[in-house]
Amino acid sequence: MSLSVSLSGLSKSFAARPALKGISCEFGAGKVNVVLGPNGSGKTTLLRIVAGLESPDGGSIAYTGGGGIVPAGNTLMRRMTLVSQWPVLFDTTLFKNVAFGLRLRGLPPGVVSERVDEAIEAGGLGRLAHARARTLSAGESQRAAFVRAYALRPELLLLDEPTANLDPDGVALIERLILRMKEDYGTTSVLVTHNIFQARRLADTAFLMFGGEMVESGPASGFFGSPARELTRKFLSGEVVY
Amino acid sequence: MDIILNGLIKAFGLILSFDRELYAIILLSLRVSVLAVVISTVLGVPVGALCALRRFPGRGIIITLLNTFMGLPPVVAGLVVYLFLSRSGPLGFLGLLYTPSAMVIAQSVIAFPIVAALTWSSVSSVRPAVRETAITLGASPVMVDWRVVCEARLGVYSAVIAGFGRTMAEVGAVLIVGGNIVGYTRVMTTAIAMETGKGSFELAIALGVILLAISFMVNALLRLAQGKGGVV
Repeated sequence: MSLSVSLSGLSKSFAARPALKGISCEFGAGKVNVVLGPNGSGKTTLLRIVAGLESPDGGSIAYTGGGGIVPAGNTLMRRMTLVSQWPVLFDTTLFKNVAFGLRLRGLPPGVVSERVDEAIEAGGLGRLAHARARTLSAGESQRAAFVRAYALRPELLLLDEPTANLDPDGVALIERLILRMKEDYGTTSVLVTHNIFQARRLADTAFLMFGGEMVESGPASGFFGSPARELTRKFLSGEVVY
Repeated sequence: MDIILNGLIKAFGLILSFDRELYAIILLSLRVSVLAVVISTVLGVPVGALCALRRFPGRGIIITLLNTFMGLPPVVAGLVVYLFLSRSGPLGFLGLLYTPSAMVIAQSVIAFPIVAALTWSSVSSVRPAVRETAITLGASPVMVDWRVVCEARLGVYSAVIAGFGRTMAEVGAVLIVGGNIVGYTRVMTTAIAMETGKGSFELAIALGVILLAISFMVNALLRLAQGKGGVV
């Protein structure tokens, strides 16, 4: 199963400074939705609202899955997860970090152990399974945070610059896992990134945000091949749009 | 210097003599302090954590009071407990004055704000991102709070250690509510105070050395537990 997300007229301000100005869009089920945009365009705020970490000032957000609207609450929160640009690992072992969310979902210990081992191996961190999280390098921590989300097999995976601290091998690994989650579990991903090349590699649907507004969105082929808006074309070609 | 040296020699002699009265005093000191710390921990950790994790009316006043009472003079605590437990006091009917129970109550009153305030401080210092991460992994509000407290556990252990140190070293309150009755409410600190008053400095120093040694051992055990608690 996978979740789709519909945003309608979403707005948010911080200290009277608008971060989102009436955003409306849909993140399609089972797709990799990539949100592009320069710094301060509102991408992270959008993701935090979808993740339930912030409340919008206006507008609405609807999660649909399994043939109906999924109401907000703990059940919804356990069907999705967020990996942030600055990964936070709990002060315990990597294994226990990855097991945390699985245990919350009431899975039997044997299943938890199996899923944790599989995820840690998939993330290339097998030799560090029982290392303290605080001893991991920045790149390892970033991969560990992704692995923790991967183990949950979420229906909606929210990613805020998940490869920002990684070397090219690490980036390739995370990208492979994002695609594997889509193929194997039908996971819907919403990926926020500055990396246009990464967006081209992964996106089924692409979105461009600028100044708290959604400038353009559409299937990746059209978005990258023949953007409708001049601002999108300039952004994709690397011209300054800040 | 001779007095101190002789005190040290006497301390070893006392320990090796297996003097029943001395060991009774040591055991009572430990019993009273450990019980007081357990009570302070059971009450103080949840209060400190609640003040750090939730916003509610009166929270600011509670935090200010806890910080204020961290510096509560033991004799004042002892006096208040005395007035409550004295025959004419509101809890006089319990008949606890001049008993080890009264000493436990007085020491709990002293240690509680220390444990609660230091717990509040350590739980408050956990990064908000920890809470958000737990939420995004599907934790319920209670589990989110538990995770945050787990992240602050080293600070909470320190709060308990500080509370224990305060109770072991305390003399004024236990003297007032316990009465320093030989074989019943006499503890290390009240014995030291009494021996000093009598001019028996060597014995006072010997008792002081033993008190320090016990305090060191208990703190070492707590530190060991702190280390073992590193992975939760």
